[in-house]
Amino acid sequence: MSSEATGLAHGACSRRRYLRLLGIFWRNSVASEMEYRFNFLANAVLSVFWLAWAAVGVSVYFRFADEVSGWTYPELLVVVGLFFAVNGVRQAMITPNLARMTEYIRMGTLDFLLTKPVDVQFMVSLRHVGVLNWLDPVLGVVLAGIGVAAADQTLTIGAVVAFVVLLGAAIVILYALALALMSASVWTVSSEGMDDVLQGMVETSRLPVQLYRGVLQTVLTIGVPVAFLTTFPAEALLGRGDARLLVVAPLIALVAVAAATAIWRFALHSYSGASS
Amino acid sequence: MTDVADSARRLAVAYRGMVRSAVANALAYRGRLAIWLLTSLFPLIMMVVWLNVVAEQGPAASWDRSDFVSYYVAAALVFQVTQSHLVWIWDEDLRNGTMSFKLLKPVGVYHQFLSQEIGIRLVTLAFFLPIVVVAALTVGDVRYPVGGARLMLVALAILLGFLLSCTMAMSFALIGFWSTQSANLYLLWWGAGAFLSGWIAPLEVLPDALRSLATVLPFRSTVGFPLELLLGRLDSAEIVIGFAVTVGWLGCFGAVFGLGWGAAVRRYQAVGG
Repeated sequence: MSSEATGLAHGACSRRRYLRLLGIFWRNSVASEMEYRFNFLANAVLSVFWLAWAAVGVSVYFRFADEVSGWTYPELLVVVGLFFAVNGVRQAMITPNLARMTEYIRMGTLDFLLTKPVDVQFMVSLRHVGVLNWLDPVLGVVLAGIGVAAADQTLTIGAVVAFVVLLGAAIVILYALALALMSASVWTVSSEGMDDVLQGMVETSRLPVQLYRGVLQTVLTIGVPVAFLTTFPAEALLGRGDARLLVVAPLIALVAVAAATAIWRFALHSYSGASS
Repeated sequence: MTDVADSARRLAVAYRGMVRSAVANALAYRGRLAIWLLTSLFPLIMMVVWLNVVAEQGPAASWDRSDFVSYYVAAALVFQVTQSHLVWIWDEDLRNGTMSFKLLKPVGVYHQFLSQEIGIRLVTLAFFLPIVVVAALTVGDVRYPVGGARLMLVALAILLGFLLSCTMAMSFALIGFWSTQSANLYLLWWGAGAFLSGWIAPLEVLPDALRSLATVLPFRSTVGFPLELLLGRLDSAEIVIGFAVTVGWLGCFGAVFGLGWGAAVRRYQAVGG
């Protein structure tokens, strides 16, 4: 996520400062979660369980068809794996911050954060990290790899590079969506349900967008950029991606972050503090 | 005899008050809309995939487009009624000491949680029931070939499914008195049950072995049984068996909870106590 810190900082010196801060913050978050060692282990077991659950669950469709909307079972596993990866990133980096917005605004913590000599967007959106689901992204990528192998695809270097670029763009887009929801909670004075909305969006990326067909597919590609989260990176990994996306996806990610940052600033302008 | 009638009347009065306050709470909670959205998303996604399968390959295990649409429209409602966050709320109450207050109240903790769940369901039903009714009347693909008497049975099946899922959830919540992992254990139970309940897919499109197993396990009562009843896919014998299995498991989990509760209260040490 260093690219966002870069966007916020001014010059190399402050970039290094923000990276150092991020290191301190995240070490602190990890340390406090690691206190509950057993819970940590139990969540790892659950991660494995849910991954197997999802992989076996989608196999039901293939009792009746060899492929659904152009996706075979192994190919679909690539998307399911990437869904776990992206959803794991959401749970680790976004939920812990988004969940704190209600408290920031109700308790006046946001006023306090505004007085700190650190960019407030950085503090609000990246300060906390959760490690309970750390296994999700790892297992997700492993499942995607298994899917690629089972689909008899040979990985080319080009495909891997395209995949990394598209997955990076996916995570930046996810951050932008989260920042927009955080801005919305400045107005609604509560982030209640905001994480559920984001989870809903990510949840629709559990399956490739082609399976939604018609209007819904268009909405999920252009309206809410769900297709960018898992479908496009999966297609790249399977060697059938659209080369134009390598330009379009990073561009959309940049525009999304810029727009979300503008919304955030606008929200802060209309914020009048907890006590007034 | 008057004593029993008297305490039943007092409980009814308590329930009326508790359910009313739970309804007010549920209405005040704005996040509910987002949670509805999220819970309704799963049946929608699963329906869309099945419609693709049917459109591309023809009926799956004799289920055609109309069957899947009818199943998942009603499933959106049944999921809302029979899925609950009770274990998480219970766990939170144990951690932050709210359980102590609940234990001090003159009404049993079981009743407090149940009335809370009923209140939430009333608000949910007020929102979802009209949607299902309108869909059934206007969307050509949504067909429920059942008359008045059968609809009463469907309502009864949903009610029993709700009670069974609450009792199962509370039995798992009791583990919270001994361990911090009650919610995680419940998730494992629910996750395994999703294949046997009709959540992952209608049971009729699953392998025969799973279907037979599902008939005798408790999970089908909370999703598949009411839905199959509504879709008119069960004969009289299957209906009787379905209700018998539901009531049987309700008794089993009721007994588990009853026994466990006594041990749990003896074991309980409040936060700061």
